[in-house]
Amino acid sequence: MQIFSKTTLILFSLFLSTYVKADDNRSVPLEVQVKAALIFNFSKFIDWPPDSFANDTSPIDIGIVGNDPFGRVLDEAVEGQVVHGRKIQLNRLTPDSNLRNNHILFISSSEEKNLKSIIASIRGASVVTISDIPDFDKLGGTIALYLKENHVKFAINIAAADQARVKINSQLLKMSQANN
Amino acid sequence: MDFSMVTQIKILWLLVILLFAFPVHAQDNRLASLTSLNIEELINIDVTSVSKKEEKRNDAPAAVSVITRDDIHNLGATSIPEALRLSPGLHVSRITSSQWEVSSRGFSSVNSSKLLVLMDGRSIYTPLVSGVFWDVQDTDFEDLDRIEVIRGPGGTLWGANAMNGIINVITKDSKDTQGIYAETGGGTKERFFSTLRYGGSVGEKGHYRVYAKYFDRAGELNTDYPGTSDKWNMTRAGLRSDWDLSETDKVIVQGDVYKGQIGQVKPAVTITGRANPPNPLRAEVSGGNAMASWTKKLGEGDDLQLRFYYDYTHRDDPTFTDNLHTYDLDFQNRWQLPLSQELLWGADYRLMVDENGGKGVFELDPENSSDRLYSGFIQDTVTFPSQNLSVTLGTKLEHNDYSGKEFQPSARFAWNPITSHTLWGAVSRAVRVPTRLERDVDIAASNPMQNPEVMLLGNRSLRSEKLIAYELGYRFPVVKRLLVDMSFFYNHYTDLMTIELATPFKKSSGQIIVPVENENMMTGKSYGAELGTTYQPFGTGWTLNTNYTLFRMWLYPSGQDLNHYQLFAGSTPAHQVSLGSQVALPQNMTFNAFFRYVGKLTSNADAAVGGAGLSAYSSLDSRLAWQFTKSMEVAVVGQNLLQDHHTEFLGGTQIQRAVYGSISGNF
Repeated sequence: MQIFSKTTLILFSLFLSTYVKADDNRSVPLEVQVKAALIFNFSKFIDWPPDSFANDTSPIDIGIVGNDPFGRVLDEAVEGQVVHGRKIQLNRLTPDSNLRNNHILFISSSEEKNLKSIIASIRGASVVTISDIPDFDKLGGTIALYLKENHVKFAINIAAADQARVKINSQLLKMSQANN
Repeated sequence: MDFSMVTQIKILWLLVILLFAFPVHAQDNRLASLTSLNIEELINIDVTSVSKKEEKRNDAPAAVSVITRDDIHNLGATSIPEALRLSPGLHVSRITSSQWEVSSRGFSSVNSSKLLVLMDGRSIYTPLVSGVFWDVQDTDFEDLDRIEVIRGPGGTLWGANAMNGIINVITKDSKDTQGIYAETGGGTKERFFSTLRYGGSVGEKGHYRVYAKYFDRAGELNTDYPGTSDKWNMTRAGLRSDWDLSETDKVIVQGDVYKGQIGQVKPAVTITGRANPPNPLRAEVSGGNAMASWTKKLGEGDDLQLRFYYDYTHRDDPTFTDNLHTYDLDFQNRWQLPLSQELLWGADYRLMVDENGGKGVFELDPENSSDRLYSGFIQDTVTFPSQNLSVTLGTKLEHNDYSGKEFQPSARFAWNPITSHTLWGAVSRAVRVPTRLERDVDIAASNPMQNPEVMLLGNRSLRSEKLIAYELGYRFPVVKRLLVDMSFFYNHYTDLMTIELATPFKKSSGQIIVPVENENMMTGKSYGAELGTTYQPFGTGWTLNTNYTLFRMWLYPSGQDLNHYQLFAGSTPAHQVSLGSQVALPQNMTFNAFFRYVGKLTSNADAAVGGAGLSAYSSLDSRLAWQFTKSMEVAVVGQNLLQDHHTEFLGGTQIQRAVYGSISGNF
């Protein structure tokens, strides 16, 4: 039984073709996109001490030090988002920049050799460090990202969080324990 | 209850209106969908299988689509041909409960003769019928990684029969299938099925899995062939092991065995004047394969791979018995060369030993045959980074016992004219080598007692069929970063085979033989387009996939074309559309619906059904699943829901509405 006339079929497929999934960031692997989404989500579960913000409306600063693997992905993840009443600002940094002014610092795997000096330079500041450098949480980092069975998992070093005087929501701590 | 034409139009336009009702997001939909997920969902995403899918779709200068294990699981498909319906560009028809027609870009028939089908790199093509016996191709679907479908020639490196497409079924590394998986269920057509798999490891460097699977399927509605039934059953077991011998060396050893009984509604071969085998018609099938491959990484982007496999198939059909042993050894090497070049080359040796026995209906002469195939290929991909262009030039060269030397060159390019736009194109030459049946057949086509007698004879000087294919594809964002993926092709065929009357001769007994032979006396052309899209308006909560395929063909015989192969021109529909929707429901439930419309066939090249056409049909499958614990899922699947029964291809049974339930667990 004939459902479509040729015209209907062509129109139908033309309409459908304009409602297709985006793929602009296809050169950024899904693993990196998931990490970007996680970094953004972690910000909702962290409480920084009040003295780490200039005022009630200053933004949460997320710094990326080293080679940026995210392309535009992290920018788009935080665009227009508001966490605890604050906007999110992304900063691209080199290892010699002032890293202490960030609330979250993503340390790229390109900085593995400089890790010790980076951790030393932010000692005492209220910075939550996140990285996918292997065993990051055991090297003094706050949140380590790693792959397990093709899934992205995370581990939290509570001692590092305490040293930075940030409070990590117990829900996030529970989740990090659950996925090990 | 059939839905009327008007109702079907209404359903489809309702879906279109739903699409319009949701505004297009300005952001990249996939990342937008990720940021709408919470942390628990993010850490549950499998980050590898989708990136392979993205890689294949976006980088290849070819018409590629990837069907993932999740796509198949959500459709509720229980066989590989049913899963292939998810790809654009393929025409899949269920002929009987156990027989399918699968074709790419034309020539739809019960033999998928212009398609190369591989399971983990092992060719499952049967030279006897120049096709694939789909009834014995299967694997445990839980451990399937993906099915790659490439329409058009030259997308792979092997095979003189990858003329119109390549299908590669790829299973998961056993490292990713550890633990126990068990599944069982049944229903109206899927009478009973069950799969059990255990995956373990040997030390740190070795992993393996073993599985066993059984199913029993009922026959479909049989109105044309009384006294027969197309019910069937199959038992299968297999193992796969993956060994990381070192940082650079990896070895895979795998194998399967199977045994089953396949009911048929009509004999595979019917000759006038010869009696048909008695009912019930049943084929006993069994077989197995073993394969080992070694991959060595030589440097950044340099590697080599050595593979050996043995495949045995036994088919005891009412009209013949056939045992086929295939031995294959192949080698591939990839080198990064200066000036941004990647060189890929390889060689393959295949020995096929076939023992065939007639049962009074036909014979092959000689009955046993050993055929050797030597092939090699070389391909160079040159990248011009400043022009965002890559060009690939290559050729396959082979020598086989059927048609001698064959040369299949191909030129491809991929160009990014603007960011996010990919334009690709290719020109390729491909061949289809004659089959053993076409070369060696020896059948009396009329009563052998009479004089003269018409005989269908093979033709040793048969040449291969040839194709020059011109392809073009474009992937580009349309409205605010929405991507369209379309492919176009124009195929020109020469030396297509037809059956012709040859010169009669007299035997020494005085009997006159009128021979009828396969000759290369037809040319043809075809063109078409394929479109595939995915839309996720609310993150991963709702996914809508759509496919559209357009196809036109003309065939020009220059002789008598006694078997009317010209009718192949109408045996593939001009239009096919499919829509798949997946919705995540609360309480860990998911609902899937898959609708397809297959246009009418204007003719059919199957002489047994008189060349008639078939009207268009549409079909709907749907699945409701509930993940009721972390490891267990229960699901109910409805198939072919729109009508009581419908016909997808003539010469078989009518496919009926069916439902089945299943329960499965991963421990």
